Amino acid sequence: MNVDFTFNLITFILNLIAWVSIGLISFRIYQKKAIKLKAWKVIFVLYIGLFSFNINWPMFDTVVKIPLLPLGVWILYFILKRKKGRWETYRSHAWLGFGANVIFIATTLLAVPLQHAFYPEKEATTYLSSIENASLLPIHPSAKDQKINKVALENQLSNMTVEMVYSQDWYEETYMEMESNERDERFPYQLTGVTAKWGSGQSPVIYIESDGKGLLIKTKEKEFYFRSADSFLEEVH
Amino acid sequence: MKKKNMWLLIAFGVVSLTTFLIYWFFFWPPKPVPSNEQIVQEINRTYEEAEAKVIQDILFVDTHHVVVPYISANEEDYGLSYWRWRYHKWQVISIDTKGEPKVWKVNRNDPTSFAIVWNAHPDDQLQAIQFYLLRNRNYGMTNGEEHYSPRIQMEKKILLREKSYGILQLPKDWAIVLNSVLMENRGGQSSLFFNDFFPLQTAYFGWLPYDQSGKEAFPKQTVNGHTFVVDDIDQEHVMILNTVDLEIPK
Repeated sequence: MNVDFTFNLITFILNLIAWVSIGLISFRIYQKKAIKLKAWKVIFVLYIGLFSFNINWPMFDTVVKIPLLPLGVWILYFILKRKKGRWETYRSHAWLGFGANVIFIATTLLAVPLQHAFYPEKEATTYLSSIENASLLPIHPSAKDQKINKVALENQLSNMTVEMVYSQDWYEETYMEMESNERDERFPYQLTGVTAKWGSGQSPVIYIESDGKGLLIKTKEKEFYFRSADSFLEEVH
Repeated sequence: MKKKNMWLLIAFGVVSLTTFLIYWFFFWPPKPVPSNEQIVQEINRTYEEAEAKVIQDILFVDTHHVVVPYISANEEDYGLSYWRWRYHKWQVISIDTKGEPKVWKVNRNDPTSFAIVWNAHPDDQLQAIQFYLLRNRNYGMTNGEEHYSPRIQMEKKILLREKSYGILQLPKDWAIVLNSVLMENRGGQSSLFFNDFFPLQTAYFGWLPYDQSGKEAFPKQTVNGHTFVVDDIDQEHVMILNTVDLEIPK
């Protein structure tokens, strides 16, 4: 079984902070109220209050959910108002639920710079953190009988530079310059057995260029092309 | 007090009986595969046109899934039947009248569970089959970001020798690569904008048959059969290839 388990530390911590602060605010409101409500009822109202009609606004490589209509608050209002005075006791908790959406916008936006700071997307070490079990998998007949030189790869990693993905040029070069069925693949190997930096939430697919100096790294959203000065492949003897 | 004890006893009996029945129905380990006569009967009862007569072998994909190659009464068809142990019985879930290779995805989310099965008609005189895992080279631009997918072309050769049929559990390397392709494509689907100009390139399977002299052959007796599906089963067609479909770098 191949479970792609990825853990995003930044998102996890920010969500934890968000929920703790919502809990604290909720507790303050609870303390100020003269009527003591049952804790599970407060949590339930808070949770329903969260329901909202959102627009998804893509910005800075992420999607921000902007809450427009407080659907949850409306539902609670129609249910609770049937008994006199009941809505008033729960009102602030219901609105806090809706307000929590704003806290989550903050965490979503905050996650972007933090992610960049701790897991820079233009550094190869973000995607290749542990390489002890690295191995080379030929995926095309133009692959040569080579293996990965882990020491060389380890040394190159921090100095690799991001280059443009010249996808169209690569594609056309392959098709223009070679006989139709004698084509070489520019990236004839896959790199397996490596793991991304812990907590980055990444499980990229990594291809290696035929000269042994290039990495094509595909994450869920993006694609990066890294080049090193020297080859990190070696002949199998 | 006595009455209470009796109720406890009844409750205990009901619980253990239910547990046993659930275990019996869902989790009982597979019994031996039915006899050849029973298999022939079941195939013909399910799909009359199969006209099964001779059972060639039982091929185990795993403990709960078997493939049974068979020969039809007029010996014109070398077919395949797919069986599964479920709900405390061996059930035929699909019947192919011809043995053109197919991938049986026992668990669609786990490529290591996939197996290629075939039953080539002896009249086609095949000596070997080359199987392929393929993905076409592709490039494009999404949301201002360029992307490139390398071509995948992995091969595995099978010699037919005296047996017309066979099974090939998906090679480990293929499973790894196939998993990666699935992962790449999952990413593409969740992209923020749906202005992908180029459709996702999925991986597919191919086969290239060779005759006794080692030349490419067209196995006309093995292809163009009928399939009768009884129950849910995940299978993928294996495309017949020509050398021109492949890249053979010098």
